[in-house]
Amino acid sequence: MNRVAWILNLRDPFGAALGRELVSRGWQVIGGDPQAAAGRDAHDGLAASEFTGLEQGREPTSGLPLRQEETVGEGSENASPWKPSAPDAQERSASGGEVHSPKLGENAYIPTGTGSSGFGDFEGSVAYGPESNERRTDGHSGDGRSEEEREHPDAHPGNEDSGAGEDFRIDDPGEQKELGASTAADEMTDAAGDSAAVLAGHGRLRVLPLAAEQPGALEEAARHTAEFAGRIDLLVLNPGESGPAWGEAAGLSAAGADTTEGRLRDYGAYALTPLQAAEQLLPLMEAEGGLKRIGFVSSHEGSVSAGDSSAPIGRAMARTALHMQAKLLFNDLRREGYTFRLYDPGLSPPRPAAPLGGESGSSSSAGEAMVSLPGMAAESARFAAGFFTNPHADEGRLVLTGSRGEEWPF
Amino acid sequence: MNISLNLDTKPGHTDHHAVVTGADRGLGLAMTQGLLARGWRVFAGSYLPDWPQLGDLREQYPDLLVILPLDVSSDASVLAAAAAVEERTRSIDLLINNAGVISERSEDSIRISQDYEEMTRLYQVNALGPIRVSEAFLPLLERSELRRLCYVSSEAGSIGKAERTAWFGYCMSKAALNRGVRMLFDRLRPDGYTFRLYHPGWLRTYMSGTRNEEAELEPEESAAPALEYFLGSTLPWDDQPHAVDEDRLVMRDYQGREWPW
Repeated sequence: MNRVAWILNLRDPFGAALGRELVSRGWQVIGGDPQAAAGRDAHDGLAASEFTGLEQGREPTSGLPLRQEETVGEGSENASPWKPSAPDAQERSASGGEVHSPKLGENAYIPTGTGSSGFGDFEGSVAYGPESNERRTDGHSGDGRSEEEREHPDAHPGNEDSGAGEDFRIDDPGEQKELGASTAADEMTDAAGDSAAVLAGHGRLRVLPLAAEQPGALEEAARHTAEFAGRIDLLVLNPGESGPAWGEAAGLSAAGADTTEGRLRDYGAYALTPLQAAEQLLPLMEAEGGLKRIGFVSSHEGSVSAGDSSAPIGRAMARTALHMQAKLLFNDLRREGYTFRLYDPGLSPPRPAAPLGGESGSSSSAGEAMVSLPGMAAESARFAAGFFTNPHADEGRLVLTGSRGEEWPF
Repeated sequence: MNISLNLDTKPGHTDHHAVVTGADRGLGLAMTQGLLARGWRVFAGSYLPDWPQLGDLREQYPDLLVILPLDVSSDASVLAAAAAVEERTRSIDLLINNAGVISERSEDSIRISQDYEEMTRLYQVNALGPIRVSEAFLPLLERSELRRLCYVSSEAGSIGKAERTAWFGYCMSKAALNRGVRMLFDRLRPDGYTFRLYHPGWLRTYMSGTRNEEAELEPEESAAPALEYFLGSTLPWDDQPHAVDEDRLVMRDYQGREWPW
C-alpha cells in the first residue's frame, strides 16, 4: 500500500528534509509551502534548493512545467533564514541528480546520518516500509520500498504504473490555487501552480501553497489533499521554525518576539495552527488500513523543567502549549487506534560556551563553524523518518524525543 | 502555622503591599480579604466594576484597599495599573497573579469545530496576562525585600498528568503559563525573587461566567492555604515546618501536593 504523509511546512529546513527522506522511502508526501502562498517565486527556495536532486533530468508526466536546472539555488538566499547550502551545480549535474535508491544515503549530495537510534525498543531510521502500527515479527527489515515497487521494480516513481503518479498528477495547473491567500493576482496563481507542480515528474511529492494562518486555508488544503491522495497515513505537524534563528545564539531574540503581538503570533503559529490542521485533516486519516499516526515537531524549548531561558518567552510558552495539545489528542485519539510521536529535531544552534574567566565570542564562532544546518536537518530528518513511520514498543506513552533518541521531560 | 517572615501586620499598618489580579470575586476576592485581615495594603485589580463585593470590602478597609481597573489581557490597562500603584507606593512585596478565565466550550473534542478566537482570548488572559503583569510590576517588586511572585495556575496545565481529551484552550494556556513562570524564575531568581505556583483546586467560582455549584471547594477554603504558602517561607501543610526550597520551582495544590509538569 502506498503510504501518504502530510507535512504542514515543507519550507522549513527540517520539514523539507523529512519530506525528501520519506519520498526516498517510497512514501507519497503532500506538504504546505507558506512562502509560495505569500506570492514568493515558487522556483526559489525549497523548490529549487531542496528537491533538485530528485527532479533533475525528469520529464514532466503531468503536463506541468518542471523547474529548470538553471534556477537551482537562485533566490534561495531569501527562501529561509536557514538557507540550505546547495552543492555546486556542476557537481549536481554530474550526479544525474536522480534518486532511484530507497535510501538517501546513496545520494552523495544528501547528508546522511548513522541511521541508528540507539533505542532498544525502536527500529531506528532503517526503512522498514510498508509501515503499520504492528511491529514486524518476521525479521524482515524491508528495503524502504512499497509493495508495489517490489512487484514492479522497473516502475519509475513518476510512472503511472507506480500508483504514485496517478494519485499525484495535476491535470490542470490552472486549477492549482493559492490556499489561504488572495487569488486576485494572476502571477500569484501561476506561482501557486508552479509550486504545486514541484516534483510532478517524480510523482511522489506535492507542494501546496499554504498560508495556514489565513482563514479557510487549511480547509482548502484538506480538500485538495482529498482530491490528490484520498487519505493521509502520517500527519506531520511542524509549525513555525524547527529551531531558533542563528542570531539567537548570540543572545539576540527574534525581532518583535517579546511583544504581545509577537507572543500571540507565536501562539498562533506553534499551537493553534497545528490544532487547526489536525481538526481539518483528521477525517482523511480514517481510511481503513491507514497508519493513523500524528507526529508533532517541537523543541525542548517547550520543556518546563529542562528548557533554558534564553529563548523568546512567547515561543517557549507556545511550544509548551503544543506539547499539551499533543497530550490531549493522544488521550483522545489513541482510543481509536491513533499513534503519536513528539519530536525535537535538535536544530537549535549551539549555545556559546560559558567562558572560564574569559570572554565569550570566540567559542561561539568556533561552534557555528562546526555546524551545517542542512546537514543537521538531514541527519535529524533521517532519524525522524524512522521514528515517525516505524512502530514503537510503547505506543501508550507520549514523550518528547530528541534527534539522538534522548527523552526530554515535559 | 509557622511563618518565619513576620508578614502578619496589625490592622492599620501598611508595611506590606500586595497586588492581586482578578480580585472581584472568587479566589481573588478571598485572598484579598485574607491579606486585608492581616493588615496588608492591597491593590486589587478589578475587571468587573459593577460587581459589588470588592466595593463592600473597601468600605470595611478604606485605608488598606485600593481598587484598580485592570484587564490583564491589555498592555495599556496593565501599564496604567502599574503607574497607578507607583503613585501610591514605591514598592510592592507580593504580586498575586490570580485572574483567569475558562471557556464554556472547553469540552468540545477535536471532532467538533474549535473556537480559535476563544482559545486566543484564554491565552491572552491565562498565559500572557500573568507574564505581562509581572513584567509591568517588576520595578516595584525590585524595591521590596520579599520580591515574591505568585501565580494561580491549574492541574489542567500539567502535561504529565493530563487525562483530558479536550479542553484545548484552557489546558494549553495553563501549560504555557507554567513554562512562562519557569522562564521568569530562571531569569529573576538570581536577583532574589521568590516564586509560588499554585493549583487552587476545583472551586465554586465564576470562571466560566456562572458560579460552578458542582465544584469541590469554596474559594475561602483554597485561599487560606494559598495565602500561607504565598506569604510564608515554610510549607504550611507539613506537621513539621519545612522550609520552601526557593531555588526549585514547583506547582503545589491546595493540599500541598506537588504536580508534575
